[in-house]
Amino acid sequence: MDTISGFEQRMEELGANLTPEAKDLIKMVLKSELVSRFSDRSQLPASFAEKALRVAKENSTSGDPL
Amino acid sequence: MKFISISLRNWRSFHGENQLEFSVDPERPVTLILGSNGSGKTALLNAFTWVIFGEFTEGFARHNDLINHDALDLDPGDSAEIELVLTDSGKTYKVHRRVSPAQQANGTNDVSVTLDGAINVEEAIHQLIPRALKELFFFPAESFSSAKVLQDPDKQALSSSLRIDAAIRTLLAGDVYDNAASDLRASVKSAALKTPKGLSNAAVAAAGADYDQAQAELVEAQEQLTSIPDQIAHAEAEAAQAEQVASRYDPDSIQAFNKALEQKKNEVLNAQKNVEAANELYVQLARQAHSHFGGKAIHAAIKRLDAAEESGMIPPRIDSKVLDHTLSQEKCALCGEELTPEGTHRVLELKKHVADSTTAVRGMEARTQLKNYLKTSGSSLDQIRTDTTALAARFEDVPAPAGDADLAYLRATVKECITLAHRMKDRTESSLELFWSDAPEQPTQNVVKIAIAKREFLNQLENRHATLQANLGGLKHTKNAAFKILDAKSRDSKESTDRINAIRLIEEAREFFEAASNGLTEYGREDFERAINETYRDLVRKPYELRVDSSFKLELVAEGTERRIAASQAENVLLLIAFLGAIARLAPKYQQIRQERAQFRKVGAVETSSSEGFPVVIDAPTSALDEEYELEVIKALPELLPQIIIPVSAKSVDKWEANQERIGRVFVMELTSKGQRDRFTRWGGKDHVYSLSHDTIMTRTRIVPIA
Repeated sequence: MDTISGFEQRMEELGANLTPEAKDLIKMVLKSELVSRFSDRSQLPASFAEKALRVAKENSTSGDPL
Repeated sequence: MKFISISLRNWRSFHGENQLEFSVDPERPVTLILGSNGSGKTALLNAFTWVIFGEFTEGFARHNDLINHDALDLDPGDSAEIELVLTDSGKTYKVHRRVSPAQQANGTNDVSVTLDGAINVEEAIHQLIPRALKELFFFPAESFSSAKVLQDPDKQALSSSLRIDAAIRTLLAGDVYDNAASDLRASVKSAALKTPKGLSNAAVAAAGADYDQAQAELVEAQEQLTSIPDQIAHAEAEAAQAEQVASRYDPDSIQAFNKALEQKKNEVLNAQKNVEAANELYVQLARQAHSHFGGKAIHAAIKRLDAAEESGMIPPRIDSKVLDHTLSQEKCALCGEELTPEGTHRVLELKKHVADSTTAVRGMEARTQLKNYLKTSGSSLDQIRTDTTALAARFEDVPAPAGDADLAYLRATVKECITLAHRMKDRTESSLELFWSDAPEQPTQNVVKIAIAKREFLNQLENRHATLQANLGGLKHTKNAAFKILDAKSRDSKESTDRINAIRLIEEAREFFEAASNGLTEYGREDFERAINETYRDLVRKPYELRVDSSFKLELVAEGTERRIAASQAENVLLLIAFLGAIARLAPKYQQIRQERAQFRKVGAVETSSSEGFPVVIDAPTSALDEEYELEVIKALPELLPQIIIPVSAKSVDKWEANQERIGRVFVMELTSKGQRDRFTRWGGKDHVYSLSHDTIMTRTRIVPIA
């Protein structure tokens, strides 16, 4: 059986405490950063803010606390 | 990854086409390039960094003088070009860079990249060999004495001048995590999440403003903390280099040189002052010239007036009214005596000349003025005599003028002084010029001052870093507290609540990426520590252990103990080579991990070996070593990596040849130059041209394969 590395264990514990919305945002951010790794990233902060606000509004409309 | 070949055309001293094909046999991993000083070893190293990154190593001079001069003499429009061929994971990359005369003047060039024959982007090469590795994989000879990797026991330095942490994060695409954290920090400041102005609820508006400010201060500090380590590394490299330059000169010899220089300059200054003084005195003399020419006439005039008075030629000074009264009263108006007929006759005679009394007065007045003039000009002349005496005293062979020397004599003396002053000025100026030309390498105190200033700047950066680190916790606390207050006050407003929740979400994501980036550094440190202990053991057969701290500085201890070992100069060189070897071995493993996106799973548990590693070019790794260590390193270098390219001078060629079973290719950088003599180097039982003397060629290098 492969032993889990210290780094992996740490990140798994951190991930386990993330809300589903945060995980969703993290996936979006990671994908955007990989695509834009060697090109212009100047629009990314605004796009991340808009995504986070959209998720927050959807949750408040549905009554789910974030 | 393997380098296959590099082709140079008109690159610096390499006139025309030159090519190197590297050994790719892992059993014979060394490509040896023999070249004398000035043959272009550093230019060859920079051929790699320029073709890959468009950049140069530290200390490489004349960045806009890349095209070979002989080529430009034949065709002023000719260009310099380099092409590097390499393979990685079964793919062939070619990167070609070209610079024309106009481009070299403004620091630009043209680059093209192909991947398996198809055009690709420059970034394809940088994904293989990131910029963060430039200083590590293309290692100049100067860096062996200036690069700092060992901890200084007397102070806690923050980071090595070789940014291993940056190299590791780049290889693992950790810059993606860093960028994510940075962009998420910036997203909180974006328009969508900013506290809007003109909120009707003043409490929410105030809390929002407080939060915005706390957030901005925290982001500012975090961004500075991100950028300062690079600044510190650069400053440390500059300070080390400046200290190395300053240390080459004995402070006593600097002081003696400066003293001698000061003396020479003062001699020139004094000589100039003598010239000025002599010229000024000559002008004074010229102003007094009239007195020289007029003086004799004035003396003669005064004598004539005196003679006239003595001989009675000057009319008596008697008023005519007195004589009229005497005649009318028939008695002397002055003494009262009766006027006799003879007396009357004399008075009548006097009366005839008395009309000339004004003339007499004028004559007397003129004589007085002339005498006064002589007195004044005599004073001026006395002063000039004094000044001339003082001037003559400055010159050995000029006698002082006599106390009554006239203007003509004084003029001759001053003229002689002027001639001598000019001669002395010429002599002292020549002496100063000769002094400078005889001691071209002598520095002024500036070398030491520069070193001190650079170290001081580094200290300031390190203090700033420490301050930022210390304040970070407080800034985070302040921001979190402001956020809590804003959250509490926003409950009544849906819009504010949505904004708060979005910020909370962004913070959560940002913390995840920061943990990922920090983890790459922390666990990468473990991999690096493991790798460098292996490479160091391969090079140095001693019971030493290397510990790598959180800033990637190394500590050398006796194995299994806490006892620090003070590394000798040779051991420091070996440490650097081990350092480079470790990261070159880690590089392909990390590349693989990046491609698999297995950073969390595998980093921290990476094993390395000499059979897998990126190629490195190390310029003259053995030049600073004594014979004992040199032999050890020559034997150990082929064990380090599967491909290693080594430009080196031929002075130890016999030691390299003793290890020839591990050397796959050998080249000579044949130097033809006015300053060289005809020399040969021996390899494989044959003599090969090493350098050639030539009457007219300044410097020309040709790459010749000899094995």
